[in-house]
Amino acid sequence: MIRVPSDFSSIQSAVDSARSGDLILVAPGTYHEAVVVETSRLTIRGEDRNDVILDGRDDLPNGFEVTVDGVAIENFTVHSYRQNGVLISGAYARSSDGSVAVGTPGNSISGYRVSYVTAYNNGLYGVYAFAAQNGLIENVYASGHPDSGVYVGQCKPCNTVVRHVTAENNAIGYFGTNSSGNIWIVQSVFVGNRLGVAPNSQSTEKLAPQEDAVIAGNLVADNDNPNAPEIRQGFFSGGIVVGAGTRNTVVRNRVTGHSWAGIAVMPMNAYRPENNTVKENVLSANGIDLVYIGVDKDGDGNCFAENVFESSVPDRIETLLACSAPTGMGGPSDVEMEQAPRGPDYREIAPPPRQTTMPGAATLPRTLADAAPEFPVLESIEVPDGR
Amino acid sequence: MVGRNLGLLMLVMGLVACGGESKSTTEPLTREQANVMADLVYRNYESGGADFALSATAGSSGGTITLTGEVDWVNKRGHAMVMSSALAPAPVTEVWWNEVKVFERRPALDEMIRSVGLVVSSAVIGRPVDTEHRRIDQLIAIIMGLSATQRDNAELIVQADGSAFVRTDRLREIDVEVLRYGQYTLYWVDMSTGEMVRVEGSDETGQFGVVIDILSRGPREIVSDPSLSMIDVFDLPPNITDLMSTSP
Repeated sequence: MIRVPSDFSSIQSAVDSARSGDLILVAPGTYHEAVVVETSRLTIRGEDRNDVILDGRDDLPNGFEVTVDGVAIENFTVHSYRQNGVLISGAYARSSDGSVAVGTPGNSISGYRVSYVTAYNNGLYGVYAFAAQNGLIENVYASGHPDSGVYVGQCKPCNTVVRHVTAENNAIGYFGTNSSGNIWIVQSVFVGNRLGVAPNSQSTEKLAPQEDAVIAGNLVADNDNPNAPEIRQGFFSGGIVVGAGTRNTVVRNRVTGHSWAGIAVMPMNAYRPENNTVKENVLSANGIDLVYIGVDKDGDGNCFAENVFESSVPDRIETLLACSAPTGMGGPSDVEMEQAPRGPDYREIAPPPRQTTMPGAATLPRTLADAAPEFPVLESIEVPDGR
Repeated sequence: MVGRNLGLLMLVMGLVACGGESKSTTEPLTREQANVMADLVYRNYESGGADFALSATAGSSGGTITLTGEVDWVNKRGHAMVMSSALAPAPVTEVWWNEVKVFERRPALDEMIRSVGLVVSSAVIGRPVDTEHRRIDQLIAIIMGLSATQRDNAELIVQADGSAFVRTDRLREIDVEVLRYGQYTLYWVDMSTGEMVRVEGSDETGQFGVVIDILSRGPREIVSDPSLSMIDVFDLPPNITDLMSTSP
């Protein structure tokens, strides 16, 4: 075990001196560092989540930037970085042919874990995994970001689980552009953002379209908060929005309090949503509970069933777009979206309260993060209680 | 989230190829260079505003147009003196703008305007922004697009086809790195501050190149609505507005 600051005065110097497989334990204190991790299979852990603080002072780029396989970041507070709190990125990895890694097998970072991390008021994302597979993001709290609190982008298959996360007061709670295959966003809380949860397809990243995510058992509420930081693309007021994804499963979420839409399945850029399933969700107090926007009279295989809801576009959505024997819409379906109001500077969002620290952080041995995480059992996930 | 700045340039100009004076390179961006590039437009926003000098091809008929002025990136306003080598019956000599309107001084129209009964000595004509048809509005959009309230994404910059370190250089006694964003936009970046010093781009044919030098920085207070002698374009007869549409 390597200790900071007793063995090394800075986290970066400890990381640079560590060998693959080491555990680096960081004592309480405020560290003004942008830590770049280029040694694989390290575990970097704070002794106390709330008292081991990385502060970028709105000057440094990323709190942690991980560019290698199998690294775990545990039990820190990371705030005020110009870009991201924690970045797991394959952008600088090179595949065997020398090209930039894009997020596919043998061509990405493989294995990562971000656990018991509080990220707030960073300039882009709280926790950002890009071109990385086999990840686990758990017990993370993210607030005050002008993009998403948690972002998993450009991976196929992702083999990644996002669970027990709380994201609030961000432009977006969870965003997943072109993150496909065995990606689970489960049992988390997305409250008070401008947009709650959004798997989506975009041509601006590789591996489009987005496919095969499971969004289950989440509390998604009041994501129409004009006092959350503004994202420049300006989407506003949606609980779970499938932006042109394919074969996503949205099931047993509680979605409430959105002035525009609770759950929406809709096109994005040049892509159409196809074969998504929206089932067994409990919706209330949304402008429209269930929305499907599309031009295909049969709904491109998107289906809605067994949801608890009061309103939908199109009307009778669970008949027209039923998961078994749909009647079809007979024409395109559309609805106007809300105009995004101007928002505050992300740096003005109040810091979050203290969060639950990692049990046994000072004594537990390291657990490697070099393999795919254990995946949830969908059947065991229930609709969460409201707040 | 793609780099919005490049996106705007491409949207407005149909950019596809760079200016051509820079040697090609295969040297990939470093992490530090990508982070600097991701920060460029936000640093401009943080600056508040700047003096600038823009030079561009005037349009499909050729010639050069220059705008020399100042921009307020926070309040989205600007003002510039305009010169054009393109032959035009009523060229713009001075321009102001805000988010929704452009105000032009076209001295060649003053006599015609007086002849229709509008009492002005030197008219300023206000009209809606029209980036689809007006070259000067396209250039203004590019200037305004050099600032954003949110950073670009360094990971997407790195993987954009063509992004690269081009060379080090020296510009206006500033040591700079010349960095390419995608295939078509070059940034000249102050190595000591990480700030944008120059940006270059052009379209696929090379006919619509633009170079913008960012000069002194700092908040700017710009009157976006020069009410003195201001005439709304909708009050002008067609023979005058026709002349406006054929002159940059």
